Amino acid sequence: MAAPWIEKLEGIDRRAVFLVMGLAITLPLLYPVPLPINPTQPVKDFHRFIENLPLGSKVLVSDDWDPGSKAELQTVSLIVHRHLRDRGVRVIDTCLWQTGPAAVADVLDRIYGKAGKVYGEDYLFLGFKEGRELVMPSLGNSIPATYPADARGTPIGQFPIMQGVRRLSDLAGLISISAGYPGTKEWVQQVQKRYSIPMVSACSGVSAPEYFAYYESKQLQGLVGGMKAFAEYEKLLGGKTGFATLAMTSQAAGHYMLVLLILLGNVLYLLKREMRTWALALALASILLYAYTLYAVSAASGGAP
Amino acid sequence: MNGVLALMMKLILQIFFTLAVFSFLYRDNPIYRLAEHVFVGVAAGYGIVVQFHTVFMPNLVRPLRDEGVRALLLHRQFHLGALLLVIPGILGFMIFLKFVSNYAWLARWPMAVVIGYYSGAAIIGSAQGDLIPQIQANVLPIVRAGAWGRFIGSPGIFTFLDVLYNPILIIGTFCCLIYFFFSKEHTGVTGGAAAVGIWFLMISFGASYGSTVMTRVSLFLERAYFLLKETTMLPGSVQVANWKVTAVVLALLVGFLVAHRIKTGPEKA
Repeated sequence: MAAPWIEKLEGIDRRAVFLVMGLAITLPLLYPVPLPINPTQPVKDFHRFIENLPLGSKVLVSDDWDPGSKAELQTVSLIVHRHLRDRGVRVIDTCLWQTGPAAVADVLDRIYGKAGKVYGEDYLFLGFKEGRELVMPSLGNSIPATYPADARGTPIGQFPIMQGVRRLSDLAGLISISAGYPGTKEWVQQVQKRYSIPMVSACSGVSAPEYFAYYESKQLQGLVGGMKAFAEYEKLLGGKTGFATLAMTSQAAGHYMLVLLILLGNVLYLLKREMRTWALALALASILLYAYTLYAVSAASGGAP
Repeated sequence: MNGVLALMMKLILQIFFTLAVFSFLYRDNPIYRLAEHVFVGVAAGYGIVVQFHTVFMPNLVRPLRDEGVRALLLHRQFHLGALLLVIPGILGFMIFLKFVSNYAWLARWPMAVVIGYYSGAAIIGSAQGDLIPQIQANVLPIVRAGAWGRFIGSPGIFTFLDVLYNPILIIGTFCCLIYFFFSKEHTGVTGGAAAVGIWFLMISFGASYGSTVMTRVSLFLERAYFLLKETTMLPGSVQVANWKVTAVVLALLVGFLVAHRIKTGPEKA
């Protein structure tokens, strides 16, 4: 028979867990602590891919996301387009998600329109096309046949940016900003190998583990997956940091709290099974781990708590 | 004035629906159900309009009408490609026969076309983009080129892990494949390899779970940032702090839910 306090803790209202998690995530947002951010190799490779694009070269950016994934994908889309704009790369943009075009058009307007870039010359939005992954090889064969007109209904042959561009292989690269299906996986399967086009991906955290296989096999030349990677990318770009960097403290606090709750659950489980030594060992290991993490974070962020 | 009103209305609706959805964390309630129904309705309506304007009209109606029928009748020009659009048009119409019980079987024909086309494209894509490149990527030397040299030159945890990189990849791939090999009973060496495969799979699921948590935290974070930290710019350079509107909407929402609870009584277990 387990001690009453163990029974009580085990039966705690799930809403208390929601509240604790909510506070753990929200409070650091209001009082952020600068955390060390060290760019990882896939993010560096993504950054290098864009840095190596020649001035005035043209790329296809497929913004395959919608407002449901705005938190992650709008954040990275803004960063990627800002990088492309600052490098002087010309962008042809598509969206294969039905509910995405309005949000993507907003990103393009904020990054290119408000910076005085010329629509149709520096950037072009082809809009939504039904057909999911079938649109991709179709673009590989002929862009004007797949998209006779842009998102505003103007024939794309009228735009200077389309001069000399018939198919995907006429472009310097493909950047997939992907929230799921259809997205990076389908672009890799349908287009990357078949048309030998250099490709990188910026994706949601959920998709990133799956896409790492493509990065390892060099089918993707760079990969930015999830909010942590977006913060690393912001750091590589330098200058004013954005939402991704601000979000890191909350992300870290949320993860620490989640791991703490998992450890607590396991300690309670061991106590309930009368395995006191193991429970004590796990509790001590957890305390040491958390103390070390706090110390390491404090040291790396210059003494801040 | 209209601009200010429209922007304020937009802000209030954004905050209201965000809080309405969050209210489900406490318990199911009428405000949450309202938000759910509105979302489903708006998403369906938006989807139909987008499909009508980006698929139905430009891909079927306009080319068939202008380049097909009109060119043939008015200019005696015969565009076979445009006229053949009648076939996908009829196939598309046949899907709706699913609602007519006597002719519902006809809806299987367009579905067969769609499934056949997608299957073909998916198989080619999987083979060309997944299967062959992934096999190629796993044909590796046992140890990465130069890894031993780097480890001997500067011994450390990272150079040591670099030495182990390819062996782990090769053993992991092999053991996971053994786990999914069902033609031989998982006993002895096969069983041992399958057990190692399970460990690799569990670590992989753990990584996926960690990434999923990061995404879910990001989703909540973006909404929390919008509710508490963002400011909305109104015409005339007037700034509204979102948290003030959030506080008002939250108070009204809580008031309504408390009143509703008093009226309907406590929830049944």
